[in-house]
Amino acid sequence: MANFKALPIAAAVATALVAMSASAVEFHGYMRAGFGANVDGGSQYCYGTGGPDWHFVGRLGDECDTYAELSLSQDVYEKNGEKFSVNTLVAYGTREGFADARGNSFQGVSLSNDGTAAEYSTPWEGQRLSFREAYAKYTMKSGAGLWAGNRFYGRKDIHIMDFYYLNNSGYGAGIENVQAGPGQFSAAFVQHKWKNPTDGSGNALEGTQVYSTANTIDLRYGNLQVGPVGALDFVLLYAHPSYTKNQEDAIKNGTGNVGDYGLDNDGFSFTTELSTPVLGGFNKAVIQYSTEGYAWAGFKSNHLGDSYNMEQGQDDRKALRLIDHGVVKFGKQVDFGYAVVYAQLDKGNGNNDDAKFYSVVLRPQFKWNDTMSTILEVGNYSQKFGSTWGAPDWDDFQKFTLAQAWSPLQNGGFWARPQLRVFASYYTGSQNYSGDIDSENDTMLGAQVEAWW
Amino acid sequence: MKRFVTIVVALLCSSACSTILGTGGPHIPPKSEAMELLTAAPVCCQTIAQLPFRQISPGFNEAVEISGDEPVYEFPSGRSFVEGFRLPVNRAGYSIVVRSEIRNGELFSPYLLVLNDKFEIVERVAAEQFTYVPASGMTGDTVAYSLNIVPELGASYLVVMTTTEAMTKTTKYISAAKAYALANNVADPGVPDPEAIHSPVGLIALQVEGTFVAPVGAQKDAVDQWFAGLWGTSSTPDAVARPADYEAVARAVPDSSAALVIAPAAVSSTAAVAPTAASAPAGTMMAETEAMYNEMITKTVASRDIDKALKLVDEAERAGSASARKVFIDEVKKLK
Repeated sequence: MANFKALPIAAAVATALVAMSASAVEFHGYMRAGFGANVDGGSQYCYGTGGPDWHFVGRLGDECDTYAELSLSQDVYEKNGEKFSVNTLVAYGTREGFADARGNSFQGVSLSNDGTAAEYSTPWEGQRLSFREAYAKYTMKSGAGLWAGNRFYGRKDIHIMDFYYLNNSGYGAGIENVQAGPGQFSAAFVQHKWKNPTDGSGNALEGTQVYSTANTIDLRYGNLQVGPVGALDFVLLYAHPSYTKNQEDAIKNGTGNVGDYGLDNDGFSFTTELSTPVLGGFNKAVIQYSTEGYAWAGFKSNHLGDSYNMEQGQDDRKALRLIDHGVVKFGKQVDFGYAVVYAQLDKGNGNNDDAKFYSVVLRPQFKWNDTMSTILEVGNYSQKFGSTWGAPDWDDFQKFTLAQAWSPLQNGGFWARPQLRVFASYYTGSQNYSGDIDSENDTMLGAQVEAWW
Repeated sequence: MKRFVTIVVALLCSSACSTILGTGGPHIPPKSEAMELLTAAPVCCQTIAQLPFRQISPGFNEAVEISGDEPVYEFPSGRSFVEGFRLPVNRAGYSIVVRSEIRNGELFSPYLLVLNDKFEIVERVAAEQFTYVPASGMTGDTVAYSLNIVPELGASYLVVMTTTEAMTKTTKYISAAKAYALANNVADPGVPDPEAIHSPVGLIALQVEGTFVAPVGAQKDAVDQWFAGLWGTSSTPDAVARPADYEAVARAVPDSSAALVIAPAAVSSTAAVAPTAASAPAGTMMAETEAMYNEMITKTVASRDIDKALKLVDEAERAGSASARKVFIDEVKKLK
């Protein structure tokens, strides 16, 4: 009996001895939600949405979705300067698209399992859930880390465009932050899937390999200080398609949907970035060159690196992209976010009619007092895809958004979140983005919250 | 377009009118202005006993603006705006968590004095003993300290002040751009962390707990406990890992060598002397006090109130005892 009683006390003593080794669960996250109205009637229409597209003319007052990320991580082992951490992140979102597909408040996530229209077919559905991070990392005494799992990997973004100009996220393994000379070296292997191969009749080509696959190597050398100018980052992505025998045979014979998945060329994407601390903030100048399956994402689409485009039409393409963006402060009351993106695409195979576009977004913000700001966001997008794609002239598109915003965390200035906003957006320009809705989509009003922690 | 102009005008108007909506936040003057206020303000009192004291008790959890119209007291460490609180008496030990928020790159760097009913100092917490806590959710960047009130020391009053020396220093905090990157899993923007300058004014918050709580930085919330249960802890008893602030916590000691009377300082600044740094490394406790703690620990373990005994151990160590933990362990072994 005495022993029985002593046990919990012994446990209590052990607890006492380690009580100070508490390792907190880190809870991070992001969310945005709100509503908007088209002044011509109906709900909001948005010209750019996170995900497949990015906000070429700025995201403020142009987000027709609810999106949230909830991340929990913890150091589960820590001893002698070494530690293991376990990290998870789930993402929740409504449908992304031009039309507003935010549904009602209803206790349904998805009403059908067939993966078709359940996402958004009624206002009682329209919701998605995704497991985006599940990885563990072993951080050594030197600061170097070893990781494996599924993760967001070294993503580089422009917040005001919701544009990830580099995003080699996915399932993989790697080492990171190995001190090598003046900078740090990281290497990762990340696997990307592309499409489901089918035979000539539209049936799955084989039972065991659901998707075509590209294996990617990601090599980075970063934080190389170059005096007062800032720090340089170099990133090389290299992808190699890997096909099964059945897939190889189909590619050789041109059967089934090989056009969708049969690009049998290696490709690479090289990014150089110079980060400069300036005016209480930063400026980043970026040069990117991408080939083959990386070319389209390296030209115009969002999330370069989150996949390797294995359509045969990507053959011999090359893209060059130049970016300059930053967030700076002018005095105590004015914050300024800006981004300029220029890109051109060599369509390959002797086609000299390059596609081009440029995009400029400016977001000045004036702080009235400790909680309230006025934000203006102005964006211009212009593209000329060339006569071989039936677009010989420059098309352009502009957005003007004015928002009144409230946040308790004015210490953050431009980055102060959570932030409540009311906004008015006006769109104009020669580019007809709004063909699928039966009213003029030029003026939107709404309210939104954005938060991260 | 005309309609858009109308909307814009309406929004601008709303921004002008929304001073109504925007005035909810605290009005804390910038340091330059606050320094003038501090210099110009008359000294409120000749002795600390004359300060106004506000009663607080467990459950109290409020923000307190130090905005430049508080009483000014001439401490040996320099002139400071002062907030005085009267502590609950006749109750078991408890903690007061004191926070100060970095606002617009400025921080009121708090210095705490705990006084007994004769207005003698029984404990002091120097500004550098506060721990930086990064912004999260609705809470901004703060420095925080969990002050344990031990009834045996006769704590009756809490004075929140700052010192001339503290106002020459700065506190580094995580840049908002980096916080964004952490929250959103994107690459670090590579911006140097800014330094908050220390101001005579600021926004503080006091949370009075019902019992002792763990030091700032070592607190476990429900989520932590859930995960701890799920994965267990890998630390071994020989590893007694302590958070970085533990040593600072250990230094937060009552100045038990002598009860210092706060005399009104000479108004001449040349005569002002900074208070001696509050530091009492382990083992510097008075023998009588150490024995008192050890006796209490012995009794408490004997009554099998391990939790309370542990708190006493922490408390005693914090006050400089070198023997409390050993006494505790020895007593627990005797239970078998």
